[in-house]
Amino acid sequence: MATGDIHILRESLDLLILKALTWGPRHGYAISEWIETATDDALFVDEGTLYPALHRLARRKMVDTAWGISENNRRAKYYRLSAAGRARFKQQSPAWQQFVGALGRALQATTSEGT
Amino acid sequence: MSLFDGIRRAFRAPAERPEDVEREVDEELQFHIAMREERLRARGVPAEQASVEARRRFGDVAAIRDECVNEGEEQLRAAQIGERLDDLARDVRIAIRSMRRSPGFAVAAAALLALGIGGTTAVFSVVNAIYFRPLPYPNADRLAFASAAFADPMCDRRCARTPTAAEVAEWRNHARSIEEIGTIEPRQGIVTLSSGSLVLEGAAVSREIPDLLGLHAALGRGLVADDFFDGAPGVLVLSHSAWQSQFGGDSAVVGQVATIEDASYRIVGVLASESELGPPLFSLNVHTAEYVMPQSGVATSGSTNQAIVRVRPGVSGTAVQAELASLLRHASGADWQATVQPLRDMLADRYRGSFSLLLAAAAVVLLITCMNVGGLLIARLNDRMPELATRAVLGAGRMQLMQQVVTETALIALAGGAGGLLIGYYGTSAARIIPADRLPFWTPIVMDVRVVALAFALALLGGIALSVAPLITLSPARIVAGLRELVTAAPSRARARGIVVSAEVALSVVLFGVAGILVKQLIAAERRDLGLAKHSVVHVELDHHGPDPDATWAARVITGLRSLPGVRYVTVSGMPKRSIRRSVVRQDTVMRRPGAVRRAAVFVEGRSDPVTDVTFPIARVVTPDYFSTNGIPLVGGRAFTDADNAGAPAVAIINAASARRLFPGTSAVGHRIKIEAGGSTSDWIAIVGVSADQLWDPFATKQPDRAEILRPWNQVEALPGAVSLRIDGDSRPILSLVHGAMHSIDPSAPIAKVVPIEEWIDARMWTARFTTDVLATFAVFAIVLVCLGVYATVSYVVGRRRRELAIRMAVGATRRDVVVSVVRSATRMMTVGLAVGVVASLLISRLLRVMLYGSDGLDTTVLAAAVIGIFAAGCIAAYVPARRAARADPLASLRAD
Repeated sequence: MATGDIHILRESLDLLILKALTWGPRHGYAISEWIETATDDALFVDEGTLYPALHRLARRKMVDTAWGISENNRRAKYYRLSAAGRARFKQQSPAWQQFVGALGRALQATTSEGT
Repeated sequence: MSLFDGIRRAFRAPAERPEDVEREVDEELQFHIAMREERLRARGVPAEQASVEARRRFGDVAAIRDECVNEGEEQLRAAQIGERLDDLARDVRIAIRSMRRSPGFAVAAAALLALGIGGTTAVFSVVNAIYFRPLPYPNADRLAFASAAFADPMCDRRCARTPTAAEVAEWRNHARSIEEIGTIEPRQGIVTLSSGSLVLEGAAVSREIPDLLGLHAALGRGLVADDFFDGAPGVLVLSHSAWQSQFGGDSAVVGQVATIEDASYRIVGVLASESELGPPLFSLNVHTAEYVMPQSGVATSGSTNQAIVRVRPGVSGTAVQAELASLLRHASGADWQATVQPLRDMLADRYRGSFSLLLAAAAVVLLITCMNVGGLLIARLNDRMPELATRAVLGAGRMQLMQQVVTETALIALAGGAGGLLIGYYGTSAARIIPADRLPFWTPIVMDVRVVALAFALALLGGIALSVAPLITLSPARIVAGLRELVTAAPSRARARGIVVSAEVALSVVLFGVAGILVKQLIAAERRDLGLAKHSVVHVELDHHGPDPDATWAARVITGLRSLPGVRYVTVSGMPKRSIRRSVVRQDTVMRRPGAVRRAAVFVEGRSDPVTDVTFPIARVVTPDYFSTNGIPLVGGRAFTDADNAGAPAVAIINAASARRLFPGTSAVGHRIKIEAGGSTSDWIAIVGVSADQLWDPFATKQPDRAEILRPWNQVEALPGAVSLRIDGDSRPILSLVHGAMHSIDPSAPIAKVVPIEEWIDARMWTARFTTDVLATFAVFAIVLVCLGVYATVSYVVGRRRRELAIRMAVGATRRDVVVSVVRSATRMMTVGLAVGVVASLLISRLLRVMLYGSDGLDTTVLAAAVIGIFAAGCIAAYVPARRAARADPLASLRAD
């Protein structure tokens, strides 16, 4: 993956994490599974890259963290959408849809003229 | 979601230490890999393969781990800083809320602090202005007086004399250790302008002085090089203060021509106010030269011509002294040595001793302030215990509780500091009412910010220490446990409060006691019998240059001055011509050194050896009215009369100190002595009288013992040194009359200065008066502070005892009973303090007794006054809240609890 793509990727990963948490607190593995399923396993090269993103979001107070007990009775770190994270998701999500739509249309364009 | 509910509280608690961050990251990543492995195995992947696959899919574990730890630590740091800021904001909010609930406390504490800081600052700013401000001359630290002294081990400072013009020239031309030398000669004379005449004290200066001392004009021009040439038109500049006081600040005076002793001088300018010729250059007094003029082209000399040198940087005082001494010996002979005294030392001599006393007094006042505030804070803390206990129950640690208490103290200290700044500023302005002639001219009294800062810091630190101390010993657990006891009784803290009041009272007793001792000393010195009249005497000091006066000079002066209105007696005194050294001869001018005291040896009739264990000065030669003019009583024999003339037997009068030495145990009158002085021995001289000793220093602790021998004017050929007049009433109007009369009797009469005796005494009393004034101010201030402290404490105690007092009143106690009970609790605190204070004062007064004249051992009156005064003031301070308590409706008080 070229370095120029990293910013877009990081932004999109953040957005996906926030989306994953809109249904409630989850631990890291659960988030990665959701993203995997939701994106048909298309996004991750390495699953581990999710974690720096999670910690970054925690530092920026987009998510709150806490230790809890997982479904198979193990100690796991849970992430929850904070008020700031929720606000950011609401603001970023439509912008991304617009951007991705525009990008898609542009990439499918058949003429050099604008449509 | 139930899971979330269960961990809801935990979501607020991030990792607290860096080790936790790493551990948590490891655990989290391991969890992920383990979960993936499990999932793979569930899908049928063999265990070993699942483990490898899970790690492969996860990626570079080490790199990811580092990234996460970094982020986590960043978050931790941010959280800690944020938390601290949050805590501070919260503590400030709590503090403000609690102050709003009891504004009385906050206002009282801040006001006490403000008073203490402000008052100390104001008084100290005055002291600081006098003691610490640099002298207003360029390179003042390198300026010094240079003088000659008679090289004789028996000789003390009195032997020092000012250098002659020739000696100054020698130094100026050859001394390499000094950069510059100039001379200043005080002058006094009648200055006549078109608007009238007045007596002014001024100075004639050499051409180096304007630059050496940085004299510059505020109006017109200063003295320039051209003014100093021979034959240059006469000019003078007025000092700023004289321009203000004598000429009303009228700028039209510049350009006018003034006549002084028949010579004309154009007033060319007015010196800037910070650029005056003042102490110690002009006089050791607080006076400044009212005008400055160039010294005439002919080198003047005489006993009043001061030499000022600027020492080359890096050269030591002893090196300068050695060089000047060798040049002096070259110019004037072997028996002279040079002394070099820095300007600062001259002044420091004057103020030594009083400064440390004032500093200590300032410290005591500040200490009382801190104790007052500390006492209030302790009381306050007691009231706050329930609240602190509640917070302890809610999980606040000791540090958090302390932090809150400190915040509150700091807020009060800030308010107090701001108020102190204000009071200090206005107090300092108020201090300007001190008459200008009691303060050195270069000391504009300005508030010293460093003093404010110091006072503030001390009050703040003291307050914090006092308010935090109880919390250090008290753990949150004990606060909670002791809650009930603390709320209901708090005996230990009430005791602490009492101790603070006792200590304050003790300190103020000491301060008051010391101030009292000083006041007493001052009164004693002012009342002290100096052995001479302390008023109604005017001295005309003569300069010693010009031609010798003829034989009838003294008689003419006496007759002339006696005819002035209000003059009762006139006397002329001087030194025998024979004894005056003529070794210093330069060209056509004969220099005489009456200031340099030569010793005389005295032979007593009937004893073979001269008396050598006493230093006798050369006999002073006086006219008959010397004793009645100066108010010097005779303790035996008679005074001189006109009959003691050249044809009559030689007579002398000795003072009591001489009589004690020469004739121990017997009367001196009737004995005969011979005086050997100036290389010759006199015939037998009969002692006809014994005069009282004069005390030259009103504060001297020893009895005067300076031996003196007086001879009648008509029997000894003498040169006049001074003319003295005994007058009726105020001396001020007579000064210009004396100048005028002297000028008409002898136009060449070299008057150095006409000085009333009051001024001479004032110069000796000034430092003591100032010290006493300041100390007394401090003492009064301390008592005010103590009263405030007593008031605050009693108010607090009354608040504590409200319920008890209400019950007492409900069961029949009268209002009077309540007042008595409350005031008695205050007197108990004060009594301990008074006792301690009295003991401490006695100890200190024993120390002072050695140093001070007139402080007899116990100073019981002063102490009694202090004790009664403080006790009475304290009772009044206690009475106010007591009365308020007695007036309260007991039922309302009971309901309120």
